[in-house]
Amino acid sequence: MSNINVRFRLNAREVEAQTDPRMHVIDFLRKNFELSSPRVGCEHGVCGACTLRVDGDIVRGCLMLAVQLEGTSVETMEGLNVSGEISDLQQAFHERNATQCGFCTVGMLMASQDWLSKAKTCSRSAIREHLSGNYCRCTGYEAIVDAVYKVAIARGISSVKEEV
Amino acid sequence: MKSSSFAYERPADIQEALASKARWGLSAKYLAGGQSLIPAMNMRFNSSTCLIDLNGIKSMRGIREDGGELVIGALTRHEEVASSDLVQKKLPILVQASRYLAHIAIRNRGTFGGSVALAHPDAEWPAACLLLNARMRIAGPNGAREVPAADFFQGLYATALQEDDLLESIAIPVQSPSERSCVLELARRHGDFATAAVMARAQVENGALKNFAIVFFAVGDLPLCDKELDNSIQHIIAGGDLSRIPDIVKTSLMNQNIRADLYSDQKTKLHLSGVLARRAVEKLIEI
Amino acid sequence: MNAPIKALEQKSIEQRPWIGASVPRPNARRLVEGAAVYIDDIRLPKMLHICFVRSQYAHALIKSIDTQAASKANGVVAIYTGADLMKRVQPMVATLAHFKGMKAAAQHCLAVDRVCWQGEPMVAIVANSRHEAEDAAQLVIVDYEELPVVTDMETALDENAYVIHPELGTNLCFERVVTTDTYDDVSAKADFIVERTFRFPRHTGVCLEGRSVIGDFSAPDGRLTVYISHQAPHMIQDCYARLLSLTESAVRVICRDVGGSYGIKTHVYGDELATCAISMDLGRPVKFVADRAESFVSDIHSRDHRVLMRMAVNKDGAIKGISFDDRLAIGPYSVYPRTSVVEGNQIVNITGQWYQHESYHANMTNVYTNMAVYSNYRAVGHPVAVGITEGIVDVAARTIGMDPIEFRRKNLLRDNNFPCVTPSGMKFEGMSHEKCLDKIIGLMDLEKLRKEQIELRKKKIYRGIGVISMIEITNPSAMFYGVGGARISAQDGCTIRMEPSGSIVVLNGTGEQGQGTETVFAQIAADAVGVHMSNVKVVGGDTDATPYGGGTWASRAAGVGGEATLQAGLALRENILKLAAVVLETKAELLDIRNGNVFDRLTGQERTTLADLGRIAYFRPDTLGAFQAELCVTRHFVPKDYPFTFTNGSIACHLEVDVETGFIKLLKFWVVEDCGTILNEQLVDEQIRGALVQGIGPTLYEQCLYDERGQMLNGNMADYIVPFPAEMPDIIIGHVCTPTKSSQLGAKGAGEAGTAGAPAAILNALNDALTPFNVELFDMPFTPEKVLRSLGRI
Repeated sequence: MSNINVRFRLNAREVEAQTDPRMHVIDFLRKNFELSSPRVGCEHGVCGACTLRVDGDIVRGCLMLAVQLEGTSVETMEGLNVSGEISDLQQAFHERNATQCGFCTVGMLMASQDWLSKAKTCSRSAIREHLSGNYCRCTGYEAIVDAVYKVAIARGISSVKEEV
Repeated sequence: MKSSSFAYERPADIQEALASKARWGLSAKYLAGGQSLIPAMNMRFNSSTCLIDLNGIKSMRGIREDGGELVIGALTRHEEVASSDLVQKKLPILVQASRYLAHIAIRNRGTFGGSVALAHPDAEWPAACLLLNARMRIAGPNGAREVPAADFFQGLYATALQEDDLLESIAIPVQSPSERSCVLELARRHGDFATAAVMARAQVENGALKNFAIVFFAVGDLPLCDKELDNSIQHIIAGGDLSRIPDIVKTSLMNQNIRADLYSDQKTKLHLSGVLARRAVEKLIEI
Repeated sequence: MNAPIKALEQKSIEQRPWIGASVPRPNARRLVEGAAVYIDDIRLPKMLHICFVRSQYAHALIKSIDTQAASKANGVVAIYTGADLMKRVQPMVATLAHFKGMKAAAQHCLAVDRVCWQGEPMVAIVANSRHEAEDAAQLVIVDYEELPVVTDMETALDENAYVIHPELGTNLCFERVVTTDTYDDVSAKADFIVERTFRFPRHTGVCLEGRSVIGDFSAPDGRLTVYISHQAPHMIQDCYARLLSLTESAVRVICRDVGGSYGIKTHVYGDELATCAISMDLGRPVKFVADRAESFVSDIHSRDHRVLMRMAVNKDGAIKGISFDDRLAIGPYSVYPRTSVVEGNQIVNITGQWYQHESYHANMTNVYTNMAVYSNYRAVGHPVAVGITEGIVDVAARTIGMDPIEFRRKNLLRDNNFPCVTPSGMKFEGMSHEKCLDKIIGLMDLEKLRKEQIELRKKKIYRGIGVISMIEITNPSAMFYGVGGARISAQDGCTIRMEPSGSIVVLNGTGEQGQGTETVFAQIAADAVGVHMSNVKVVGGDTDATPYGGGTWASRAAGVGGEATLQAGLALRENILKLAAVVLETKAELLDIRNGNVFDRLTGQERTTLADLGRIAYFRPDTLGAFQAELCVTRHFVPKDYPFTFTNGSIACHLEVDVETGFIKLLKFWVVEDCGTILNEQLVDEQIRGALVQGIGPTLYEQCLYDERGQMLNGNMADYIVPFPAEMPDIIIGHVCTPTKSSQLGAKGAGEAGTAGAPAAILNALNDALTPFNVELFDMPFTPEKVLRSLGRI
């Protein structure tokens, strides 16, 4: 099938590329832009390893076609590293060892930041619920919850009592 | 798990979309949220000659109030419904249901109409549409038509949509301010499709529940409801002995097509439906 | 010379800043920035992509394979069948001499003439992209003739059972009996015999990064470079060299970041091997990344046991005997090179051995089937051994009306009674079962939980508590594999060198997949030499660069790789001080190193820096007279005193059962683990947590479901249920420390204990919750349906 031209913003830069319509966003970004932070884990939208931001919302990159990026603004970890938007969260993950093999980490950070940026109150169970679309096999999740909770408090999100 | 090849079109309006579909024929598919279609294509369970991307059709998006109803454009994202103040006010059961609906990344792309058109037996929106007496507004090559939910959902992944139809919007009568509703799902993991689930509503008159109605989903080929069962449960509510509810639910549902899944057989599904129905009533009473 | 070693021993922990400190991992920074490099991130010039046509049937003859249409598809460069690769690749026969009587058939990297499991790779399509390879794969036409399928372990050894490999004459892979010959007598005299049947489901690893390899053969060099997501690079070097008829040194194996492994990536897989053979044929790099669908049917599966477990016990609570009959179902081949029998073998070795008992009878039968290939996965055998032991202990306690904690206290091996040899022949150096049990009871406030349990039962809320004791094999010696003829190294080596700037480089082949080995080696090296940890660089994952190593498995990295690092570091310190003595015109015994400075031990005065010594050694050796500085040393270590270094611990689970729906909610876990010297407590604790959640998986959720045709029914992420965050509990962890004397570090392993003990703790907590109903469950995973059935609700 013939390629289609896609124009969009990638990590704050205007870019353009040709793509086979069947390419999903992750394969597209990895191949055409040589980004390595976008990853595939399952290609059926369950594991969350492919989570990235399109127009400010987190989405499953493996369930979106590259051609659908036309006119959108895409943010991957490469962009967040430059802007420093989640440097506190990255440091908390690092210090708390909330990353082991690292494969889930980008998706986990994206999902965590999505929650942090909207949360009015925080509890461990709320964090667990919001991250429930992200699979990790190494950490057992507790360190991740610890790191996100710590950042939530530091950012001034007030803590509420856990439901028992 | 890479999809096979397909052509891609992005119509600007409904007429263009219908024309694309007519041109490409049977093997072309409409692309809405893609949260169900794209995994199927990645796994090569589905292949298409052309995907017709509806996401550019602005008229299919948005939620508006229209004379005692909310009209939800088919391309409205799950999360738009879940976070809408209007929906919270007029159709709170949709917000209640959205708490169980997959995860935020899926909800940001998946669409209300896409879910209704697919009619996955475990999905929340088809069940909600049935309970709320929604009407599906369909555009087709022969013009527009409306199909009430009870007629729309016909079987496992089978709806009233014909091959060239396009679900344009869903009209739902608002819940009255005196109404209570709840959604209860039993799922192995938060956000998964449920093992068994119910949505229930009732009016409140003088502190008592009236006009109880319940839909069971994730246990059959399609969401299940039965007026007689609703009346029987209403009767029991009036009488006060809620422990009788599970048995009449099981008796009623046994006549419907209850579908076992990998982890729960029919008996389990029936049992859980009975328990959930009783718990739904308890919840409505305590609200 | 003993001086440097004494210097280390003299130092208190304040002067030895790194070992024992919970430092964050320097090499994890790139992970949080999304800059990890996994095999799929590697792009080589002229690289091709591979996709495999896999068997749709569990057992079938391959009548013909038509690749005509496929070979003409866009982007296709070459297609290989099993027959094509037979010329290049030796078949694999995975037996080991110490598993006496074990039988295994030859396995080709791609199926030849016959497929034996659904998912077995048959045809390799090599193309310019994975997309194009998959397009072509759909055009391959295979004509199969279905054969009878063996899936039921209980009937696979019957007289009339279909035999998968006629040349073996049986579906029996391996059986083993260990007996003290006294069980029958003893049990006849005991007051009670309790007996239960346990089931552990077949399940799999689900590493988030699929298995990945790039084979890069350079014809002019005659060298094959294998970039692989793996835990044992030297093992791959050895196996691939022999299977591909290359000399050992012609194969270089490079591991980069590994996205999850857990034992899944310690084996030789036919598809990965084929990828490298194909690279040799084409003279170009070829990449294979297993996608999620193929991972479910081609990664090794594990567990899959039915165990009839018995305990003979007296009414005063004394355990008189333990006996069991374990049957497990492996795939159609024994997986190369570790075999598929280690799981069952470990169970026979260790079940019940942490309790005092006179008699022991273990019978294990390991059976071939046409389900996916099967081998070692995190905690190999231990979840079953601990599960059946701790499960039957609680049953015994209930039967005689004794509190399960008291029962354990009565029977656990006494802390002060080591070393000892167990009835099954295991040698235990030192354990702390009593201390761990006491500690966990304190940590969890068991009394409070029991009181609360009673109160909540009145409100029809059913909570349960399960407390278990356990052991874990770590730091194995050559008794594990070497004695059987496997070329899998039990030793590890470490080269440490000082650079001209005074910084330290550690070359260690043990490996890192996220558990923190590189960090721990840096901590050890920093203390051993006497530098700040930020001045230590660790290099691993390259068989060209590091000493020969064994890899990460059986929780050996810290204890074995770490000890090699320590010894190398201490030897380097010694050499640096010899150099310093020459430069400073004094005696080496009068000097020591701290934070990169050489100081006088008597006066505390700093005399010079490592940087200055480096400058002199490398650039001004003319000033050293006859002295030759040796600032690069290598040391090796292998555990010798004991075949295995056992750890021990206690795990407790608190859960709630909704008896109307059968759903189980995990409230909390506690773990008290004794893994000897702790090198980095945060890393140890995070291994325990991750391992424990991985053990929760098959206890409540995970199972590879097969139908009678050998088709896997749930090979996708929606239907195969792995733990996600919302259902998982917090885990409180404490430690007891019984260092091993078989190394200077005293560190035992810690990576698998959580997986080993979680099923037992949950099982006991569940049955404890259900005691008011007089029901018990032993058939895992404990699905809501099973709970409801046992309660008679359906």
